Amino acid sequence: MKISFLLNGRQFETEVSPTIRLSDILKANSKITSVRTSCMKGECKSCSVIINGEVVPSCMVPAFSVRGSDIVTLEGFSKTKDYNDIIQAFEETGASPCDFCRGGTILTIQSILERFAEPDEPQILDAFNGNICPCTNIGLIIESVKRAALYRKRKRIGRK
Amino acid sequence: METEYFDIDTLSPKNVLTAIIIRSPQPTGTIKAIEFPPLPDGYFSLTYKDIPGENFIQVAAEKMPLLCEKEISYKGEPIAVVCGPERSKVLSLCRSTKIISETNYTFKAFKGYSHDQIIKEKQFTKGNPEKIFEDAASIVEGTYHTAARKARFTSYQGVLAGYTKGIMEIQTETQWPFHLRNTVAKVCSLPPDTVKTAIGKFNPTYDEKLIVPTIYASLAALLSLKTGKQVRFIPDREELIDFSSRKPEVFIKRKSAVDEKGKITAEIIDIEVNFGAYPLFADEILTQLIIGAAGSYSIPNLSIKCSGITTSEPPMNVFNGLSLSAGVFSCEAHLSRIAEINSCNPGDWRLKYLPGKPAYIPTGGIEKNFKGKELLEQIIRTSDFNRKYSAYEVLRKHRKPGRVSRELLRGIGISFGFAGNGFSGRKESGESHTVAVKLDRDNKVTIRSSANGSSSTAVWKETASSILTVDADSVKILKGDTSTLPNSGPSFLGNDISVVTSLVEKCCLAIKKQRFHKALPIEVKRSYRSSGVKKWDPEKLKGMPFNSLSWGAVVVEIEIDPVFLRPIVRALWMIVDSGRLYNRVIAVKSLESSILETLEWIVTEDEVTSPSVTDTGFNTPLQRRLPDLSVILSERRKNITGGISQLPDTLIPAAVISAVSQAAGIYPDSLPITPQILYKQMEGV
Amino acid sequence: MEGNSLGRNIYAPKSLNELLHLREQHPDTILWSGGTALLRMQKDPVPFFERDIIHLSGVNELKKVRRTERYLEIGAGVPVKKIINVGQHILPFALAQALMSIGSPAVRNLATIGGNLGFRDGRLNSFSVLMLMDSIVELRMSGKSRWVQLGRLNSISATEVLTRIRIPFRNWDLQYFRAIGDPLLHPMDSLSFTVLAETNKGIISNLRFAVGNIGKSTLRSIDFETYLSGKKLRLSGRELETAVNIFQSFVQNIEGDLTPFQKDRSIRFVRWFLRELRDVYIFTE
Repeated sequence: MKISFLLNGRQFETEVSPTIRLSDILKANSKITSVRTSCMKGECKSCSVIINGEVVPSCMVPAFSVRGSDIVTLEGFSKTKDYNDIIQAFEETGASPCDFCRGGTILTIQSILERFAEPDEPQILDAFNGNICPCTNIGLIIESVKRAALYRKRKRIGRK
Repeated sequence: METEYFDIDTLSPKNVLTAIIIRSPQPTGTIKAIEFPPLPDGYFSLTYKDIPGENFIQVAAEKMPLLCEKEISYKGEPIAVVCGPERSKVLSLCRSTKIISETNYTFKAFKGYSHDQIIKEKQFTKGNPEKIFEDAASIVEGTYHTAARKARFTSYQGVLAGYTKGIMEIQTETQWPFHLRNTVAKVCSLPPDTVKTAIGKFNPTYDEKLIVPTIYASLAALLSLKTGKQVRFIPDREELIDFSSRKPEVFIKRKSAVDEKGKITAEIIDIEVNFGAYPLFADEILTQLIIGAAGSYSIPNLSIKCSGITTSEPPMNVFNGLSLSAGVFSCEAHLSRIAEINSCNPGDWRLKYLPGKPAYIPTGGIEKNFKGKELLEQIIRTSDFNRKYSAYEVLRKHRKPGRVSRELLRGIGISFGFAGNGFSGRKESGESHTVAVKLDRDNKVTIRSSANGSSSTAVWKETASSILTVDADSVKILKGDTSTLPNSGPSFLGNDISVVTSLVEKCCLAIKKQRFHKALPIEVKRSYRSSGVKKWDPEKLKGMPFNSLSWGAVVVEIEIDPVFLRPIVRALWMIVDSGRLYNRVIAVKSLESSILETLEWIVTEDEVTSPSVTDTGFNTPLQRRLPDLSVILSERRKNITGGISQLPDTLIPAAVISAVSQAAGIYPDSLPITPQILYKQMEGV
Repeated sequence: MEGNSLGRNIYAPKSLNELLHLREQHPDTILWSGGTALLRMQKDPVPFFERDIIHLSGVNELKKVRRTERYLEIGAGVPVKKIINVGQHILPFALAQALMSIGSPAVRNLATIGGNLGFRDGRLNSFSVLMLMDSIVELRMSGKSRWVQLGRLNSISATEVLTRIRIPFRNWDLQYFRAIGDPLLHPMDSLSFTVLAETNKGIISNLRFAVGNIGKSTLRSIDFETYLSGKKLRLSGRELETAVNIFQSFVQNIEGDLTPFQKDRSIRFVRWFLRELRDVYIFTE
């Protein structure tokens, strides 16, 4: 089956079995290194991507369902201003997710910041529910999310 | 180029063959035949008959077959491999392969094991415990069980092997690249220097990348040798979790003679370890269990017998250490029980009976600068342990038995102990480490080491950058393989931090000395070989087993939801004295991560699978709250560098068990603590 | 339509009519909404399905949310996240809780209400809440449609498609939902509790209670519900004990569906819940 979609702003086309998971299509692409797979149950978030503006686990998405979609991976997201807020927060708190779960962690944070202007601990933990990579201290991630939310709030106020 | 994480999918060339292992469908039996379906062109199979070299993996004296030859030893044992260009086709070929075997077999179980299942025994005796028991004021007995533990998560990405022009190139993440190289060479019957192992960066949470990559690499190399093509394994998660690192299941029976004052005068300890089908690291695990079970208190009369049992279960060996933690768990949980029986606060009991200075651990090793009492006093003070313990005791005593409580059940527990670093001073462990550091003309620093743990590399960069006063960005951990990198030993048991970091530091200090006397570039190599052998007698188990001991204490405050019987950790205090720390921030971060990881295992609802807690309110999840963590780093012994990664796993279980015991008014003795276990004990089912 | 290497077909209808027509022609197909439950159950590297698939995401008629004075109507293809975003002033509290307990927010972006209700191998989180709320579902086939009580969803025929869920608004001034464990992966341990009640001047006028997430069935004790209806809050000690006993004997007599551990948890829950029960607008812990 031939499928095509927008991948990080560029048209992407490939010939695959229609039920193959999107995570496997992305992993086979040498330009995408942020998408990893572990649980294959939509829990661990290592394979998170943004599809049509929503963060989803790409292991839960079959190829046939992404035709014509707009897909953004960490590689694409890292070129946005929103990315810088999160990285700045990481630097200040010392949170450093490993390369394995980094993509999923950053995109999950982005999804929290899109939903909540001032996310609290339970809201953050709900979003990270199932993100089970033990490399990073979740306390630092919570702190990073709160800081990144603060930077965005300041920017919004600055714009007004 | 700097070392990086591998992704075998991304690294693989177009015409790579993908391999899948055919595993035994039954735990025991005799293979009569393997019937492969007709293999299409380009598809290949591999059985033990195709192995040109040795068909086993060896660690110290113990061996484990790579592919089963005749007698099946556990369900899931690798029997054959099929590879080909299309993964789904390979999978369907594997499923169509028939293993014809004799079905008349006996499952070797751990419970009620027979004498011939005991493959190794170790004994440690001190004083005359049998005689003391005759005069004991009271005898306290307890059995403590640590269930086999599997990884909850694995980031292992697989392996890519290719044999071209007489060189076998392997790409994978491994904690022990030189062991992998040597095994591949032996299995393929190639000279070791023709095998190159490129090493990816990794995050070895459970030590799951110590032996497993060697198995996959050896099979991929054999297939590459056979097919002349590059071959890869990308094992799926279920396979990795079921057949990668497992912590051995351990039963520890303790019988203690206690005098009128509550002091333990003698102990008889019987340890049984389930190694599964193949007892890799058996000698070391038995030794460390004995060291752990002996504890930190100078019990004058002690007899410990430790038996290693083989069963028809998958091999269990390394898992965040070598089971010292199971020994310490039994000791500390038992002490809290003795304190409680003697109506003594368990914190006070420990303070009373901890050795003074210098301290002797039961095997006779001496800690000259022992700060145990100070650590305990500090953790008791910080956590307000005494007040809380008394308050929860009052609540416990006033609770009416048999009535479902309306309030949350509360308890607090304490534990104290040590973890070692590295192997227990055994020569054959091959514990030698070499690191090379080079300062270039453009002030760029490169570090070459085969130990590549992700958190330790950050510490090395910082160490080099601060000693040589260069930017952290200009320090690179060099990407390389076994043909170019020095042998830095297995990267586990805290060696990355304790040994390799100190070698990086030594190299940098040597460069600093030479810097303005010699022209750049300057390269310095430093090596380390375990000197523990001198101080430790591995046969009699006497002396100081490790190069350094990391000490710590933990207090855990727990609540049990009386409706669903879920233990919830509300707060945890931990104090750690591992000597000098290279980076306090990284140390705290890594300790907190290990603490949460340990708690997730001990009190999670589901033993192995996802910890996902689905109790949610509209705006807020109800249960998903992190415990309050307080980690105190005590660097009272500046001349020592010890690892800290094993301490949470070693100390937290006993503190949690004691807290649950106080909260629920029962004597839980098994890890992990699930609501099902609490239900059975509280309801007497 | 697209074929694949395994010989299965994927149909992607663009309208409800096209979907119903396809379903009539191919009754033995998998209806793929969010697909999260279907993919969670898969173990193969390339997911393998024994039947052809109809992919529903192109059917816009299934993605609508409608609100009238009397009910809330949700298309079967509406993602769970979108329903939660309808807001707590419209969405019944217990239903919101049930939907929030489905996976993580990222999974809720994919999972749909129709998929949660229509999953064949077991009843998932939202089923018991919607059932207690007297929700009805629209089942359509080419040229025909019917509305049935959710509890009768099993009567769905091979050519019918679940298209809409209608949740009547009632003054449930006492609502509670709680789920433990994963009904997909651990059906022997998981449980959900749903309680809905109407009260008038501190008197329970209508109470409904269901134990869910236990495989294919949802448990309700009519005796228990009837006993509590008409009782004044708070319950007296004797009333509480009688109610618990009624529920206990109901649970103890159930064979097969519940493990002893699940039974114990249900009884503990009921005892705790009744003890905490007060005349409050929304019951929270």
